[in-house]
Amino acid sequence: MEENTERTNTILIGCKKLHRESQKQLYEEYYAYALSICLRYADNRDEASEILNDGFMKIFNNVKVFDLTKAFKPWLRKIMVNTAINHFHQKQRKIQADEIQVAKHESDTESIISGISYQEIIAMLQKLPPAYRTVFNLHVLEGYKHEEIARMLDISVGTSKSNLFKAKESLKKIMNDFFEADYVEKE
Amino acid sequence: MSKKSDDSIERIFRQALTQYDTKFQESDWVKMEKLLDEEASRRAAARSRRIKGTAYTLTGLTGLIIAVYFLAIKNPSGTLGVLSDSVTEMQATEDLTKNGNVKDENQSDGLLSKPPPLVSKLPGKDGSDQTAGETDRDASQLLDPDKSKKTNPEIIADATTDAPGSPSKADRQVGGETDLELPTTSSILPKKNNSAAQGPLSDLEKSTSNENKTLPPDANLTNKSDPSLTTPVTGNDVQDIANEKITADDDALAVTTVPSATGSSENVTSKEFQETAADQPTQNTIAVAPEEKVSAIGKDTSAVKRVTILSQPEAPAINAKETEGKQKVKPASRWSVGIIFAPEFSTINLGRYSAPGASFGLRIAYQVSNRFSVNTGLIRSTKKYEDSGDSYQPRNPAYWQIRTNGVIPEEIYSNCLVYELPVGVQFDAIQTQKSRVFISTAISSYFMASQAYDYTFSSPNPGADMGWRSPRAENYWFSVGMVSAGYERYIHRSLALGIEPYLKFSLSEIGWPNIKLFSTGAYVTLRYRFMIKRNLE
Repeated sequence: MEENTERTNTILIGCKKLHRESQKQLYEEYYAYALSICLRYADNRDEASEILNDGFMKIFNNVKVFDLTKAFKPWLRKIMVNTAINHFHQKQRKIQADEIQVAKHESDTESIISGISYQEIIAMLQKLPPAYRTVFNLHVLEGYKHEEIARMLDISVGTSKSNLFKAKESLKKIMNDFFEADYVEKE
Repeated sequence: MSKKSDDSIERIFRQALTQYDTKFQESDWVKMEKLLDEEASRRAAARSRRIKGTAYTLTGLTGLIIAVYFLAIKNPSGTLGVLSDSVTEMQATEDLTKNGNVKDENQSDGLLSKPPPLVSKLPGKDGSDQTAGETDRDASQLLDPDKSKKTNPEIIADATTDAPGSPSKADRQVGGETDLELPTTSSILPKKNNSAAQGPLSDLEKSTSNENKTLPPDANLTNKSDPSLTTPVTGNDVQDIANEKITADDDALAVTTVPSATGSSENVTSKEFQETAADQPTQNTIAVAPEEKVSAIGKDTSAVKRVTILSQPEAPAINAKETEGKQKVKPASRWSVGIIFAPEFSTINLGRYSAPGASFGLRIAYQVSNRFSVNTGLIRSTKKYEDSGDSYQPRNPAYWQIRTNGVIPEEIYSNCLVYELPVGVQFDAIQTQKSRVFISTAISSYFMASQAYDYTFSSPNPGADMGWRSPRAENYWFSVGMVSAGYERYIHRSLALGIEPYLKFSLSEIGWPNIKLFSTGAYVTLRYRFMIKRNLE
């Protein structure tokens, strides 16, 4: 397990004392990492920023009970994922209504992007319906089991598996449209 | 699709997403700072609410401590009193105030019942101070040879000036008599004995003292007093006599301002007394202590002396009679009713309070023994509290999933109207003549008349319920415990004003959110004690 650097601990101590300067330092230090997590769960950058700030607010409110001997990064990651899941719940109803629309949109994916990059991967992920995307993120990127995902999202294990399957199918389609049709096969 | 392709996709995404290159945007920090500022102001508001709550609690406790200090430290003798005694005495005082002497007379059916009121009137209310003061004045007048030689009417007039004895004055004195501070009373003795005023020798000594014979006016004066101690007053004429008699006896000094009028009634009394004295020599003898017979020249201080006498060796026996007589006058009922009011702070965890709700109601109490009483009542209270959504457990576990998109509200503000039906026991730890300190415990049933909960989410939650309300009543029998301690002081013989800080705690989970609720506050109480109205016909 990676340990906190001395700098990180100093910043965290400042955050425990609610020093605004320390809070800003922590925010800047972990901005990129945290946002990378949020982007995977969000529909767009704005939503990712919203999740990010909500997550950091939880961190600032609870950092006083954080044990400095433990690694900060995994804690931050967990908080960001949980915050993203909360946002997912909030959007759930709206999402269900929009799902068909998004599905239609999938097939119209345009292959403007040349070459694969982080931004492109994120863009592909964001094309997924949130229900699929969240399960995909949790299972593939965070490593949660379907049982855990089902509990976290209040869905059945079957739905979790189904959503993961559909997420992969959708991604393949998106990628096929984006690259050459046989890109995945070659890989 | 093959499993291989599935794995490929996973790998691509895993690899790609670890190489993030998102740049810092100052605008995000600006938003973050705004959130932090809002949070800071909210914390400040919560802190000020907590400070207010603490201040209220401390104020209540301080009041209680001050009360205990004055009761237990400044007035140690008073702490030994028993409420029932003080109650009896207080009511006797009030009775006299209200009904004057007539009532006493009405109740004087025999020798035994008659003397006590007299005794009670004489000693003086504010301890012995007042009595002492009057005694001094009497003594000083009596020391004056000219005055001592005055004729009877003059003496009466003097007595009148000595004690512009309004009934109220006499009444006030009665209150003090409850203390029966023997040392003080006895301190009066020397003065009287040393002075030339030896009125007390009066008629009782008539048979043995020549001086009485040489001072016929004294006979009238003393007769006027003594009968009240011993006279078996009966019949209609007694009423007239008693009025005068007691007025005069009220300190031998609370004589009417018209000497002639007093004189006439005295004559009647005197006659009666002479008969009485003949019939009841023993009674008279009891009333006179040996040392009182020193220099019997005395005149109008006889009554004061008599007081002294009565409160001396023979005091216990006579006091018993006295108390008996007073209880007959108008004892306190065991029942009392009161109204109570309190600003009440409610919370789920004791560290967090919101604005107070109001709590008020009626309480009925029954005094079981000197120190124990039981009570019940009906209290209407508004429970206002707030806490994070995690603290609430809706009956339907899937409630949040169904109603708020699965998001548990960050804050829930609650406002419930509750009718409480407490049944409690109270123990009076410290009792004095006019006040008491008590501890109390009760078990209460809650009848929730309405419940309202408002949700606040940390971020917009479209489509979610913003609260839950129910006008439906819910009953929770014996679900709440209560402990309290209080101080109460009589502001009138029947009315007591008090303060009673308390803590109520749920014994079981109540309300829609299945919470264990705490409520704290301080009741301001106004209690009315019933009096038994008897012997007043």
